[in-house]
Amino acid sequence: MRMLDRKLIRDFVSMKWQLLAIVAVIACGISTFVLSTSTVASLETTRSQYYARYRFADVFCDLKRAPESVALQFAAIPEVGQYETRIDIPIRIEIPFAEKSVQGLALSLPNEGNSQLNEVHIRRGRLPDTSSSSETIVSEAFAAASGLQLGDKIQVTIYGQQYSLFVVGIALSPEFIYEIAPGGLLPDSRSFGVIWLRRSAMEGSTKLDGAFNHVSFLLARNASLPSAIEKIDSILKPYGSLGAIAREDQRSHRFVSSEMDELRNMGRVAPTIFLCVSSFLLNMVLARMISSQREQIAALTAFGFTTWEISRFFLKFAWSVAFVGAVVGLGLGFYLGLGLTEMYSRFFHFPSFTFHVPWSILLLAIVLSVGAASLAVANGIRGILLLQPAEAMRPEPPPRYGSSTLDALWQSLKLSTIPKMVMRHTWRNPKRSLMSLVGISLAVSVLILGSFMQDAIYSLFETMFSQSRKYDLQVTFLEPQDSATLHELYSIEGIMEVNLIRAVPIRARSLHRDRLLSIIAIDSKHDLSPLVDLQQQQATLPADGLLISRKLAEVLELQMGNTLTIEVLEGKRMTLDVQVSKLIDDAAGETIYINRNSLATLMQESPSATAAYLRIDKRLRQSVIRELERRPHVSHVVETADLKQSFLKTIAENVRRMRSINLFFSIIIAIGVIYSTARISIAERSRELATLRILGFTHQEVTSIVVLELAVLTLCAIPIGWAIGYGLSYMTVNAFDRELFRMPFVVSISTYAFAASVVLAAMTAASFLIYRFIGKMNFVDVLKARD
Amino acid sequence: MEVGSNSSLPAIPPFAKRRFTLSEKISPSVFRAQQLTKVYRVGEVIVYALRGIELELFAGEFVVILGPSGSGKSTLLNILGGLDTPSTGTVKYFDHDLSLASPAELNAFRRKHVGFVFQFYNLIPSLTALENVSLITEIADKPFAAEEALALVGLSHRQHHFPSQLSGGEQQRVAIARAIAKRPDVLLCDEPTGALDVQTGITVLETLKKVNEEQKTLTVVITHNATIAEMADRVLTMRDGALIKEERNVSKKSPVELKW
Repeated sequence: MRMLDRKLIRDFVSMKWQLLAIVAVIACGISTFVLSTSTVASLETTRSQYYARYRFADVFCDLKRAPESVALQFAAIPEVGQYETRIDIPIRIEIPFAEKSVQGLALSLPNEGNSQLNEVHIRRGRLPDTSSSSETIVSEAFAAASGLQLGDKIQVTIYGQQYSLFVVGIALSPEFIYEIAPGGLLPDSRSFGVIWLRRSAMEGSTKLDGAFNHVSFLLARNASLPSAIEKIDSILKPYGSLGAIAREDQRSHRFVSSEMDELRNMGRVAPTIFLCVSSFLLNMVLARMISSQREQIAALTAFGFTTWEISRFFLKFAWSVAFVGAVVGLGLGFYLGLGLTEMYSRFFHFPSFTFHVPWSILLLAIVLSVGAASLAVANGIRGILLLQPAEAMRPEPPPRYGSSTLDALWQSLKLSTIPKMVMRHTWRNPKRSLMSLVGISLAVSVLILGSFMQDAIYSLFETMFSQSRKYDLQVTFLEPQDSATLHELYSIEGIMEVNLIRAVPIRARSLHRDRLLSIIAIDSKHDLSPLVDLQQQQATLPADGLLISRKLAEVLELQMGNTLTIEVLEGKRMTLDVQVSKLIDDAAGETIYINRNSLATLMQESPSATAAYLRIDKRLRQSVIRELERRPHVSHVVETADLKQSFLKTIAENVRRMRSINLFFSIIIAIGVIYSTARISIAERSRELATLRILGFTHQEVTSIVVLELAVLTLCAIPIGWAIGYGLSYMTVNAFDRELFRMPFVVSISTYAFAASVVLAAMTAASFLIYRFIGKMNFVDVLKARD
Repeated sequence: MEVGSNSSLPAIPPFAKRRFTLSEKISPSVFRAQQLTKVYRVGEVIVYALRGIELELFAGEFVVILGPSGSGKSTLLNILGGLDTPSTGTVKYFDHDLSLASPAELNAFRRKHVGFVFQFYNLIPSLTALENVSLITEIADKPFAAEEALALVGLSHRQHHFPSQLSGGEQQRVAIARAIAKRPDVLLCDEPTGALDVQTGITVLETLKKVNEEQKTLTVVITHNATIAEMADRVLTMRDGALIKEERNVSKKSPVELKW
């Protein structure tokens, strides 16, 4: 083995703790980066494979009712490659052993075989027998949540009629990767399920004999999506079409995409910052470590080692550290990725989920860490190699201390010698102090970045539930109800307050932009669902005109006072022009509110309701729900408590996991940085410290010099780190400002305090190490040894 | 920092202009320096380290350069060894003009021809005695075996010890072994006994003498210890950056006879 390689190995051993700290820092950066980017990449691959294999449609259209013969016209649309009609019906499902009924959706399968489009993937069991009217398959998530097994019997209510069905299969569908109820906020398989029946079994009960109310399309290759949608819309308009939607707007797809966007940003912005921070720290620590070998480098130069030979040695050194860090990081990232994948497979329902790390990410991670290490080598030895070896071999000349304006300040403070030395040293080595300052600030900032998500989620939870959902139940009707429903609801024992809601499916249009969504009409008195923005401020509903989400206004390029064109997709299918009276910065991001009476006036009908928010006497909860579900015009009842739970189980859980990973890493980074800073500071000043010991300063006094300097830097770094952390968090939140769900930007005092206390704790621990190190230092030897 | 050659120098004292060509040319001159000057800037102070040095050194000689601290002897040694370059003047190693050499050429010159011994040994702390020597034998053309070099300095029994496990004298002998292992043409020693006690210093000097006699290596020792001069073939004395005296010892003393 070459002697320099031997030196390499021995240096590794002697610097093992410092190197461990660097490896930990770089591994943390790499693993969060690999973890999140690979998770997103894996999700994307898995989804696109799933879509391709099970022929997930490109265009979907819901409508009231169209005879099957209409479908023949689709064949004439050149953009359409394949189409399939079916029946989709909202149902209520009663599970024999559960006390409550849940909201459901029944989809028809062709009378024979599997669907041509949006094919069902049978997990267990089989498809219903051809034309069987008593067999059904249920979605896996729903089966799991409600404990359904093959052979179980379920009761379903279709338009008020009860049917008994046997579960013969448990399945997945590309339409329900994210299984969320129509109009629902979050997936909750305990309160929503999808079942499939043979079409012949559904036709009779739904009065859709020889007719369909849903159609899916796979487009021809290179077909234009807008023109396909336009042609489909024009065919189906007379049949109560709710407007054809592209895959991008399909509920599950959209939620999954949005979730992926969120993941991508949450998982890309923060880890990229982590990676950059750790690369920076790697660079800084290595560079200083190398420059502390100044005299050894000079000696090697004196013996005739070439610049390249010396650089190669340090490159090997730095690359080994970076490479070990990268490998540990990749391994850790992969391991955590498997865990995260397992978590996603709980609410993203794929037939199989494979986690893989794309080569590009692997390469990027290694290139970044090795690049940072190489840069560190360049920084560390350039200065030394530029010097004449004779000069480099002498100990570094004492820094130029002289009197400065600041000295007057130190004097006036009447500091004793040690604080004065600390102040001078800190002030007169600006580059060194700045590096430490930046390092510690970044440690503080990653701590904030790693934990602020929790603040955002708590704030969102507070806005969504405590403040804007004051109702206990939401009851949804099958058809719009007239005002008499208010009295009917109040007549049920246990219902204490009722707010009526009218939701109308519309196409909102502004110039060339349009969006299919629902307009929500509420009464001016809507105490059960106050309109609350992300800053938790209440907004009032304007008497006239629309109140729309700021995000939607941005999408539609609307401003306050503009007119929005509303195409109503039911009843008389009127087109209305309504003024935007107010914007709201809300969490949902895509809502249009209007006064219920003014909507009725606009639609030329009497005020009606499609749903109601109820405050109830909690003791009568069971009977109220039973009473509501007994009524034939009631589609389903949703409990706010369930919604809260599903929020905590899905979004909050997701963020919590991500946060704990980030937090874990940010703590390691913080400790690594502070430990390295302290060690380097000792190494760079060992002669000075030894001299002080010889001059009669005590162990404690000498320790206090280093500790005091570290403390001064840490205290200065904390506010700077807070500011950087705030900025980075803001960048992260902005990066995933999505339409379906928006994060409020909140960094709580406790997060700042937490970041500061972790750093201070790390500093205290480092101080202890410094104390021990100085205690062990043989100061006479340090003075003798020049290398 | 080096100051450009155009900066105005104080007048060179007259004695500095004498050329030291008294020695008989028994062998070809290895180094020939003419009008060497070196000016540094240390902080805000300009230091005139060398002022017009004229010098010739011959193969196989044992030369001691005497002078107090700051007399410029280390600077002269560094320039001879290619660790530094003069501000003005020329220094030739055989026909090679070191004052015109690039850093890479100087590096190659040191690598091939020069062995250094420093006051503070400059051993690599993480390598053993043998490994410190092997470090150099690996990059040399026709080196001794590292073991042989250590044997030459009488340290065969200490070859697997790390610098921290060796006494100062032993460390310095390892440094000498390291310097001679490449069979250098010149051995340049900067206060080789400066950090050592008398007895250890004598051992180190004996080692140097042995190397000089057995290997016929031009050996230049700089020191402020005048006693050491008694073992030299030739003694040069420096003060304020100039050579002020040259003496030839008629009878050289052996290191054991030296006392300081």
